[in-house]
Amino acid sequence: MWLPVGAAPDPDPTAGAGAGAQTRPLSVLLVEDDRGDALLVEELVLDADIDIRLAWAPTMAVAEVELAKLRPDCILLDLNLPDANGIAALDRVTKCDPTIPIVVLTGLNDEHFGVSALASGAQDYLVKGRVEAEMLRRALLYAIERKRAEITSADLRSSQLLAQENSRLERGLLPSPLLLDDPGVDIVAKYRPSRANALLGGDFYDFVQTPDRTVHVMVGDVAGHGPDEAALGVALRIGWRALTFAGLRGNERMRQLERVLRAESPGPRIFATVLSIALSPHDRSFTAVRAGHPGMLLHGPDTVEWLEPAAGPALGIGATDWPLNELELPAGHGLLLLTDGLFEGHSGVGNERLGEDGLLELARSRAALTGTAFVEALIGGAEAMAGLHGGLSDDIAVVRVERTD
Amino acid sequence: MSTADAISTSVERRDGATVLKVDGVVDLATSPALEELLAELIEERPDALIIDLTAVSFLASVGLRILAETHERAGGTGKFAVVASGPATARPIQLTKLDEFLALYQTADEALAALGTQP
Repeated sequence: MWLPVGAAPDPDPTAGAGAGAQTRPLSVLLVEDDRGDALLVEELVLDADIDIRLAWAPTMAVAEVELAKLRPDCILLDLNLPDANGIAALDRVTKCDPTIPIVVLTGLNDEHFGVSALASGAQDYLVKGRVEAEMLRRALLYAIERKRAEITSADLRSSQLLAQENSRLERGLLPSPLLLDDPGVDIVAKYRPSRANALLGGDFYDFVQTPDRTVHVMVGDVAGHGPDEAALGVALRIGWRALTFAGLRGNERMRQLERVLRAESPGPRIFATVLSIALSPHDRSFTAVRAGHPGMLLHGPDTVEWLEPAAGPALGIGATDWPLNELELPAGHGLLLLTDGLFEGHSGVGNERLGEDGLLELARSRAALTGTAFVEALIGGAEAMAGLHGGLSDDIAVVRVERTD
Repeated sequence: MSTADAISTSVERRDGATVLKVDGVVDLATSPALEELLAELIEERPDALIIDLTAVSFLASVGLRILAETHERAGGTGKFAVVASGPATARPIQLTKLDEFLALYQTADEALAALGTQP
């Protein structure tokens, strides 16, 4: 069906950038029912200073069959076909492949069709009987370039939108701290998204100080990755903050978070883990409530231990009770709240994972570091160990809190 | 994605019970296939569904979510059981306290006996 209609015998390199850059023949599908008009186009193509392979489809039905087999560089489309007319004809071609540039052919008396075809997605139009070879050549090359630019900018736009959406959600997952003046604590918080191009994760954290000067710190993790999970993480973080300021504590706050999770879940079963602690303003005591979340690291001068207070189930599986633990934070010690991304990364060539023991070992080897340096050393260490697997595939949230008095 | 990240499954039907054995890594990459397979198995309405994680080397939180979901869809304890013995699977289940909801066993035979499908 594809006939080489004309090859420029001696392509003139100065004939214009478009033609000069053309290294293979341009394939064009002509959709035209009138045999006479089709012959005219064929002659124009022969005269055009460009190598074009022209295929002819006398009806839309034939054109659709052709388009299912091959993708021409451009389509020349008559808008008066026996089986498709006007903009409907344009739509049917676009439906076959929305990425092919289209130049519409109109009669002398219906040039207005050409104009509305431009508004409906055609790249250009030509009026039959007023076309010369050079005009046809330029219209084809121009249409191809315009379509390419259109597709590129649409791609760019959608990837920009995705990036904006992700960063918006990420901002929602990460708080602006709400601490009083001279809060009595030093807090270091780090969020590390999973490796580039991976989906947005569902880790979140927050810390606030209520007017009674109690400092509340929380980390959480929605199981799974993606915008739904991230949005749920935002809902839980804001929910936790609002419930905390409303004076809810311990079990009651967890129950309400469970309700938030169930109400906001996009799927049938999403679950999340949360660890929430509250540091007393009066002494060294603090309380901890764990909902299926990993323990925390107790970081003293040159020592690190896992601290795993009694836990209740993760949120989302219908639990109603979570143990309230009363603990002490010794002078000179910090508490490190984390998400499982910190110890679930690969740690070798095979399928070994760092694990809780591995993380403890890593933390002990860096115990002499303080505050930010310690947090960064842990994340950096876990990242380095996962290097053979292209980095960490999960996101990580870490919050380290230490009293200043 | 390395070959070590692959998952393989096998289904065995005996005495009205369906036993799904999973081998490999259950994480974000492999979970959709597992989820799909479980949905198909539940459709068959077996008397009991047992998921055997003995050969699983890594169970991410998304896998725990699938267990919780399957527990509910399959009709809860008495209809659904999980076999998990190694630290790679038992630890995350215990950490999230899913063991308070799921029927957890050391071996598939134990689970079959407990669900009363053994002749």
